[in-house]
Amino acid sequence: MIVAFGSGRGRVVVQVEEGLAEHVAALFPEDLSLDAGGLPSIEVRARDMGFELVRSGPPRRVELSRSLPDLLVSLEHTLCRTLLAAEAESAHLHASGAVVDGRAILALGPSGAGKSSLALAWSEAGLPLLGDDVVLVDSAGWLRPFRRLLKVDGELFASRGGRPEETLAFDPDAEEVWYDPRGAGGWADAPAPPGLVAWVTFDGSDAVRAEVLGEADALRHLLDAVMGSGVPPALAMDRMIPWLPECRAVRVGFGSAVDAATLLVDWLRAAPLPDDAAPGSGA
Amino acid sequence: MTASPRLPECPRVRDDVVFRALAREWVVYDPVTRNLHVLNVTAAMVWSLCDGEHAVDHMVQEVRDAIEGAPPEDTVRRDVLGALETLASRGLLR
Repeated sequence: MIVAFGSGRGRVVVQVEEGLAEHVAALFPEDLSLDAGGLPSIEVRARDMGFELVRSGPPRRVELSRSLPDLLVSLEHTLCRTLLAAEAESAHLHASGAVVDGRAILALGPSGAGKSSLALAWSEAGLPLLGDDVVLVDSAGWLRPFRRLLKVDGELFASRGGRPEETLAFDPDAEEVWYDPRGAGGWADAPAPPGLVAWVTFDGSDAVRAEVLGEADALRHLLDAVMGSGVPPALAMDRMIPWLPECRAVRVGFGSAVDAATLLVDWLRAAPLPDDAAPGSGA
Repeated sequence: MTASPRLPECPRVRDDVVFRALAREWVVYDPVTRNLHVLNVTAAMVWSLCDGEHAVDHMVQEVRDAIEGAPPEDTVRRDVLGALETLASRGLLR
């Protein structure tokens, strides 16, 4: 898995576990170098010994129109696709998640729903993360982290006391910053079974609104979150159906990611759900 | 009585659609449309009989025999045909 990706002082560094280094190196062909004007050289290292690639030398133009943040976003996207391809036996959920007392919370929802904000809140609360955008489901139906740096809204990050200028690949004009959770709760170090699944929507409401979901609605949301890069949805479904009898499922609207993240943790720890006795219709 | 004109004599479900039982309901997942459909108990029984070998009359009898109290045949037939037409309208039959 990727263990580091970022820039600083004139170079981009990508660190991956041994075995994947060649995949990553393939992203940086020999003739790739970057625009002049202080943009970085690229360095790819295996975390363990056995591989090291340094691309340096006189910078040459690749795409003048690309700013450093754009270039890094593109590289990161390509890296993620490559790393997910190496996880083809897993189901890939478009979700964020964290582990609480050995069980996982998953937050599902479209881009912009607040998944990364919840992941940031969980991380800052000291919880080990499963991811902020992708979470893996292994063949046993347990959840494993996809260690991508969190990509969070810069204003939100600063409003919570974060220092954007200390994050990786910071650019004063970038709307988002990359956040490394290893400075807080870190990554989950073992697979975890799901305990709570939440379909989340950032709706700006003052209070967190929630509705309990029946099994079919929960499964529908989970299937909607299955990405095309892993096992087919029908196979993913068979890994997720066993979750349903024990796993709580809610639909949540929120304005404060911290409040919502806290409530979801409380619900996972068996606090009463908003309407525990009357789940929503499953049809 | 025969099946609706839109239905084959012996309906058959698509091979690629996945049927699964949850704790309190039944679902079918269409991998083409990525839709999950929830079935009631009658539709689930009908689904299990849509193997291309059971005629509608046979389905009606099987479903009626499975229901405690044996409701009137006309009622069961209406429910079976309704379930079949729903499955067909959702593109789940061959």
